[in-house]
Amino acid sequence: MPVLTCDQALSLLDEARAAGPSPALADHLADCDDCRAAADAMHQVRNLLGGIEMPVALSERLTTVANEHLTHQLRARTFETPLGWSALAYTDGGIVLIERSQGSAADAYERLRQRLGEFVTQERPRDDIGDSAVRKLLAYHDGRRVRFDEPLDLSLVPSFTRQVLQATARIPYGEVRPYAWVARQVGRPKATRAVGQALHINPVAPIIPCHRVIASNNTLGGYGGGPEMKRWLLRLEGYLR
Amino acid sequence: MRPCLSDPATDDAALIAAYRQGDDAALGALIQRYQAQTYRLALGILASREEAEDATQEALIAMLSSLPRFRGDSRFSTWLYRLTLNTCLKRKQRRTRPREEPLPSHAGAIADNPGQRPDVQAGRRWLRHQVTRFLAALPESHRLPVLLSDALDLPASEIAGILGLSLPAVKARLLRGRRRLRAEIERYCQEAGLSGWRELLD
Repeated sequence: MPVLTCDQALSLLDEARAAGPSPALADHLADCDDCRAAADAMHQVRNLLGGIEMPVALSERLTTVANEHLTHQLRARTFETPLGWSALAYTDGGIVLIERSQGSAADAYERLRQRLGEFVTQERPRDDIGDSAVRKLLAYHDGRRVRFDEPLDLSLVPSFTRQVLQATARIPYGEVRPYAWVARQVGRPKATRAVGQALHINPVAPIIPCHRVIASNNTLGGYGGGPEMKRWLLRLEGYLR
Repeated sequence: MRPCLSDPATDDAALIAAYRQGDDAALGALIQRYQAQTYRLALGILASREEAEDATQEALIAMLSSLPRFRGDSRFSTWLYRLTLNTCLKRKQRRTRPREEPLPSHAGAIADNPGQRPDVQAGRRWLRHQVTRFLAALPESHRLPVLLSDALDLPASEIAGILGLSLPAVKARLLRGRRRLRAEIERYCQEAGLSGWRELLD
């Protein structure tokens, strides 16, 4: 059996815990008071510190925190329409954002991440509001009438914009209203320009159909995705030919 | 295939992968696996149970929000402990005054009448309760290795990774730190006139 120096023995102390008892080490400890004291101190301290227990209430609190996190966690789905790839972000509380892209699915997803920060998780397949919203969005772009009744999470949208969006959501499929109509609906009849700006930042087009709001002189007015897209959507719904 | 969440042989990387694919229960299993150690680490650094509980929660929130960026370059445990360590050390820096409370009296837990056998069980409970306060007497350079090794049962090599130290440095600090901790306990017990303290440690 190799005879250990004190340095070797002390260096072995911690490894012997994982690797199992070492006869050479035991031999050295039997003869060496200093190293034995170090080994005793190790066992004593481990005994003491290893006995620290976590309060049960804390464990419950952590579980609650994790569940909250999952509820508010942003999840993402991508889907392809005739207008290109889109990406949808949502939490258990509702749909937060839809981004369109002229590029690939990955590009649409990247745009989503850029708008929302790093907290959007990778796609997480679950049968939830994200799935049903995507199914309906695909059907909608296919020319079918669908009822979007998934909750929308507009909590980060400023309050005037939210009112504008809520009024716009009431315009029926295949119909249009002028900006002034929306302005009257929200009790600010002169604020047509502000209505236009609010619609421009609609985070959940086309679920909230801002494409159904047009100028009073019957020209189409602006659209976040460009006039071509607005025309395409109104044609899809049968308003334009 | 869905990993068995409660099986300790299911490694962390498998749990993280399952969570990323939508299995929320895998996240729960991961938290379950590390929560007690995280708390011990926090308590060892902050020496206040209240603060350690808050810090554990803070570290969990930090972990949850950084997990999407965890690329698996290091072991999950190394990453988590480093994150917990930073959370606790930052918290400690923010303190306006030291939070460590003075050592309370042993309050009759240990009989100190030389003729009478000490109540070893009660004494040990007392000591377990107070150990983090003794630990607070150690300089951080020695306290952290001792905590990670003896409270969290990490191998010296992983501790070296977490603290950015060489392996021999970790081992040397463990030896000195433990000796110092034991000396602190001895000194306190002797000053308090506790003749039976030796039994408490064994």
